[in-house]
Amino acid sequence: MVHSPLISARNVSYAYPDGSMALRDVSIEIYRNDRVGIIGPNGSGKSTLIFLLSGLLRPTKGEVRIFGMLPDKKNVESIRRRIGVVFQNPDDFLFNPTVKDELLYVPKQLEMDEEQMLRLLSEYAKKFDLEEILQKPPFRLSGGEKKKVEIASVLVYSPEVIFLDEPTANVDGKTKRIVAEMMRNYSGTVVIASHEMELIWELCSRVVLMSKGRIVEETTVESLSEEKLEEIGVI
Amino acid sequence: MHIPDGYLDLSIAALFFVLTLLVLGYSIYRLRGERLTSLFGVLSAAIFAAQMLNWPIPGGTSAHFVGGALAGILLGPYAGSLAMAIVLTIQTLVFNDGGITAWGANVWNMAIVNVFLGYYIYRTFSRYNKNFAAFLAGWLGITAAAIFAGIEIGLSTSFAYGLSVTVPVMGVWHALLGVIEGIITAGVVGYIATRRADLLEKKEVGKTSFALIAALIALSPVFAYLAEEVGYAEPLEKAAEMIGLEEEPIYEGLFPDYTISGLDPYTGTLLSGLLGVLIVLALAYAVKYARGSRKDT
Amino acid sequence: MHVVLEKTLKNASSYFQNFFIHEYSSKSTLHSIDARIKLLGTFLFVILAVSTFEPKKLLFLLLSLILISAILGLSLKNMIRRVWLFPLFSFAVVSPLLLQDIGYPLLFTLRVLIAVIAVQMLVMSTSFADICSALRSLKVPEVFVHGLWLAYRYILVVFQDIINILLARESRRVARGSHLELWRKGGEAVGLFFLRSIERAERVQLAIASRGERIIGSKLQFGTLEAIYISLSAFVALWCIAL
Repeated sequence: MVHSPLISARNVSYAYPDGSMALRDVSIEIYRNDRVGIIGPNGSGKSTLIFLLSGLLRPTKGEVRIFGMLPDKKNVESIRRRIGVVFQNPDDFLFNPTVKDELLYVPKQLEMDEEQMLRLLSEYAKKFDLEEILQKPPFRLSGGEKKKVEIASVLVYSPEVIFLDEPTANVDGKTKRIVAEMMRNYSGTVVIASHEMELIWELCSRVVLMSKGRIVEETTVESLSEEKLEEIGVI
Repeated sequence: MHIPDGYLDLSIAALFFVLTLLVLGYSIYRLRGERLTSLFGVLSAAIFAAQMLNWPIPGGTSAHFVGGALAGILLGPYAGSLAMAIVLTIQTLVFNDGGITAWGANVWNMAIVNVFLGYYIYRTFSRYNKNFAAFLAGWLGITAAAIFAGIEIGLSTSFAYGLSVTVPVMGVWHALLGVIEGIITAGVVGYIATRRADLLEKKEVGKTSFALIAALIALSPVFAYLAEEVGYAEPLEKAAEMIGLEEEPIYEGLFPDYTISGLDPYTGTLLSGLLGVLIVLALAYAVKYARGSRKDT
Repeated sequence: MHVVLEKTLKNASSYFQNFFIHEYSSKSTLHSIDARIKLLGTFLFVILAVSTFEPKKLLFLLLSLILISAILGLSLKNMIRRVWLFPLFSFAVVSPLLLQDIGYPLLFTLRVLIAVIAVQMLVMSTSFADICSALRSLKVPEVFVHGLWLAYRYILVVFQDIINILLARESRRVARGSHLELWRKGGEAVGLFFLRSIERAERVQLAIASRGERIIGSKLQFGTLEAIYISLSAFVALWCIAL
């Protein structure tokens, strides 16, 4: 059965303010319940693609449709509500006074009632073993704890699509397993950008290979060859 | 708020060069023992980047955050003024934002008045409420800087509008926009207070020097007025006089009195002008030729 | 916040192009001239321009600078493209006075135009590193020059930082807010950015302490080329005064 894609990019290009082209003529479609891995070396444009597909940035050329809409001033908040982005650096992302505030940041904006929020809080705190650190300021946490809080803060509002930008970069083995664990039971659509293969092997079914701002191949995780990965510089 | 070249009379421009160099020089002197170079270099970059943000205002356009008061609050007035001066210098020399003869005045307004006043207001009110103090510092710092700019261009005869126009226009407009500066400054200080309150502590300032600089700031409009009285709008004529060209042609050169006898003055001037241009042309080609024969590494 | 991001990024492109501008016309004669001489020359031309309202002097100056720029290899088209806004804005500001005196607004704008061209002659032909070296050699305190260079070098880096922070903030903005909220929350994001910058600065300080850092600019030189250029500039000045 062919559905229409949840998110689609058609011939998008994006140029950085300093003029360098991050993406050239990229087209991709994300379907509901897809588990997509975007693989490429540093500088291949993975993060930029994620920012475009999640509606955070607008392409300089081409078109991105999210949930069938072109993002604009009127629908942008509704798009944000349904999409979650886990940023590469938790220090860019976490800014609230305590972990509890971090988790409830989106629910508060959605004006959920007190009871509902507390239920959500205890559910996720328990699920991800955050109960001990709820009152701590995020910037005092260890790297692994920060990553956990970051992901939990996104999962808590149950977005339909989650993007993860280099979730395992600069993170120790234990945290990598925690990230995998947290995402394993997530039931929505997942897009992971990474140059590390472990998480992709584990969570993704479809992969997209990128190099120098372009998509060079789309295939399944099973048919991924080592030669190809070497070719684009990932291994 | 950057004043371009051509708006200020040279006398006023020169005055503010002197005042600015005095205060900046003193700031450098004051900071000589401290290993602060990288700090305000990188902070200057941060202020520059923050200034690039477009903050939408009701009505459709956008305003920009300047950060002078913030620089004073975070770095103290001396390092803060240097950081802002660096930002302004880059803006002048890379983006043509602000004239080079106006550099003295621009730095005075946005790197000295803005910073010192911002710092002073923050220190005075922060014991009551940090956020409010930061808001006032940001807001009033910008407004004061704008008023000074208004005074400078208002006093200059090069700019035909007088004080009665420039000061209200600059003052009111920036008092309005300054609200955003205040709110953002308060936001920044508020956030930093939650994580590194140590950065907001009182800085070593030296009562005497601070008071002196405050006095200079307060008196600078008066100095500007005096400079204007003493100076003259068309210094080139004065310069010509001084080299003795206009009144008594010591040098009875090619074109005595700058007319060619027999021709009416207009044509004479035109020909003199054209001749000058031709010589410029020739010399420019000479430069080009000279470059050709130099090996560039 | 997306409005802040979009507008900022759009305008940022034109900003950052300025960082690389001297790389265009890199074959121009002006590029080869010692930066100190160019700096002083530009200063001289601007002072001349803003010292008078006499049409003959201003026109002579304008013509001379345009000719020099063209002959010495600068693209006038690029120059105008970069700076047309300043004279236009100045004209707009003084245009109400056209009714009283047709000369003043034109002359005022002319002065601004000449000054801007003079500065472009420097900016379009000199790397910032060379400008810093020139400033240092003209006895500007090392602390200031070093700060200038560091700031210039780090602008691109910290800009990326602030964009990332704004993007992360924006990703969890699920409800529209008032302008006031935008400014307030924006201030907090900028606060995080400044905090990070201070921590970055502390790291940079350590790195510099451990390995030292010098501004790398072209060797300053003084030869025939410079001598002729100085004569050229001096001639323009004297002729302008005499006219």
